[in-house]
Amino acid sequence: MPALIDLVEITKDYGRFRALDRVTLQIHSGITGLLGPNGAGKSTLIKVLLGLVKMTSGRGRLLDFELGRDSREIRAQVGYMPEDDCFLHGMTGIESVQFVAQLSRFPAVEGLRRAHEILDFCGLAQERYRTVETYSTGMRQKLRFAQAIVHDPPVLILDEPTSGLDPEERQVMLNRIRLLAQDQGKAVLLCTHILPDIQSISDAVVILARGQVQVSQSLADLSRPSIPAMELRLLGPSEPFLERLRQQGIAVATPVNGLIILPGTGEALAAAVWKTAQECQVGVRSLTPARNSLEEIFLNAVRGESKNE
Amino acid sequence: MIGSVLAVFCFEWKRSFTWPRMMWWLVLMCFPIFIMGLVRYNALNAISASDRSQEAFLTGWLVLCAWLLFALIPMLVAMLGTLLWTTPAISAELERKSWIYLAVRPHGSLSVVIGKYLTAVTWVFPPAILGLTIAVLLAGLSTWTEVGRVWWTMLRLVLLSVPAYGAIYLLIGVLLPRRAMTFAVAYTLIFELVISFVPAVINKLTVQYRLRSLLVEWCELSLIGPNGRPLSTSLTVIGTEPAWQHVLILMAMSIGLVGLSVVVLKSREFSSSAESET
Repeated sequence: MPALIDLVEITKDYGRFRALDRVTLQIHSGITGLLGPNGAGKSTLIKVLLGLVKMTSGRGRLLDFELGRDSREIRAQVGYMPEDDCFLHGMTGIESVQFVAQLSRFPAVEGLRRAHEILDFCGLAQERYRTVETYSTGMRQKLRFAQAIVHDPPVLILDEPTSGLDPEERQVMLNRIRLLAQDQGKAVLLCTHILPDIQSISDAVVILARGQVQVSQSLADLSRPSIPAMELRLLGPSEPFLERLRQQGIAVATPVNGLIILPGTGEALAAAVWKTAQECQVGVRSLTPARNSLEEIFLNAVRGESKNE
Repeated sequence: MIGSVLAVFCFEWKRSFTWPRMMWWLVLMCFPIFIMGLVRYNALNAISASDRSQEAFLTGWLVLCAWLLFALIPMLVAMLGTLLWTTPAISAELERKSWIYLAVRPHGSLSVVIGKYLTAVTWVFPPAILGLTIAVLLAGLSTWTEVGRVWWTMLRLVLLSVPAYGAIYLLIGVLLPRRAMTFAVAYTLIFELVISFVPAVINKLTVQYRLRSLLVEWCELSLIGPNGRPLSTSLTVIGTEPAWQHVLILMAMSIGLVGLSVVVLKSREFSSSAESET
């Protein structure tokens, strides 16, 4: 499948400071999490994609358009939700969404229709008739999201879409993003510092550090441990159960915080676990394939980069 | 593109109906009226009724009123109005961090700049024209023909000066968004108020020079001194070119400078207040 965003050796210098250093990257449809510590070059990468800053060298394509040359066409194809709390003061929610729709080539009436439709989708009800200055943080997030998707772009770049939201609103926002990616086939580049968000909805992860790509891989591949294993949590005393497993030749390590790591995968292992649990009269709370945590992957990527210096 | 410009234009006009902006509008309209009224009141008090009907006084009064109205409306009101609304076209959005919202739309940045320029120009016309109309009526010119001639001249000068000054300030705002106001005021003081009076070719680059020349020609103001010879200063600070040439240059200047602003805008990187002008 061809990449929706294809970057080759992109470099961006701000004077003597190199913000992006030969970034080569392919982003496919689905949700891609863009991670990196502060100053890693995430914002610069987004601005290069949007044509807001010119790259110093390299080349790239977004859909069928050349970066740097077809900026106008690219902007028509991309919905961008900036991180900054920036609003067009003096406008109501509905007006501000209609206004950006008009700037995206919609006629006024069609823009208004789209604005209502999108605000319904984003969960802004009667509040849409209030001026944006009176909005809470959650409402502002929803409004920014609505402005990003009002022109139905095939590519979405969302910068910290869940920051400042309470857990329930955060979940709803993630569901909306997932819906757009899965049901409407949009490519989403999700830039956030909230790792569980990336872990819960992303298909792939890109980790930037010091302007360089440290990791660019599917989340499934990244999460897979180098040695296949299963994670087990029990209800009740675990010692007799573990002893029984060891007797069957399964090398079980001592549990850490109630988490038991079983080497290997497959149905035979699972069957052995269930059988032993029944014999030992213990409940199985969960039995899942072991995964590397994103936090660990992120820290390793960033540290690895630091060691290379 | 036209739809986007229109959207910005409508939005900016809607945003103009705030108390501070309405107050500015009122000030721009009333200031020339107030000054004209004050001058007329003092003049009438200083001169006896019999002297007021004499030919010399009437001619002098016409000249005085024409120059005063010129200084107040096509100069002051046009400059101040456009300075206030076109200079911060970009810096205001950068400060509010709303620039990025607009810039990521297909024609966003161009629509914003052109839309704001058109808003500023049309925003300044009403106070300038209303103020002009009332001030001319208040001036007490001797005949309706004179009233009509002065009004028609000033109206044409306003229609030329507002877009020209707006375009200059817009370009300054695009070139130097961080210190736009300072540079715009400096430009006004140095170029339009000093260099335009320098008897050298450089004064032909100013809007002032063109407007002044048109005023003299359209109002048929005399440049002959008391000795019957042309006033020496007038020869270099007032152009002898035909009026159509001045009009054409002013129009070309307005369109050209807006076009230049667009070109500069496309070649610059403004992303946020923190990272602008990289």
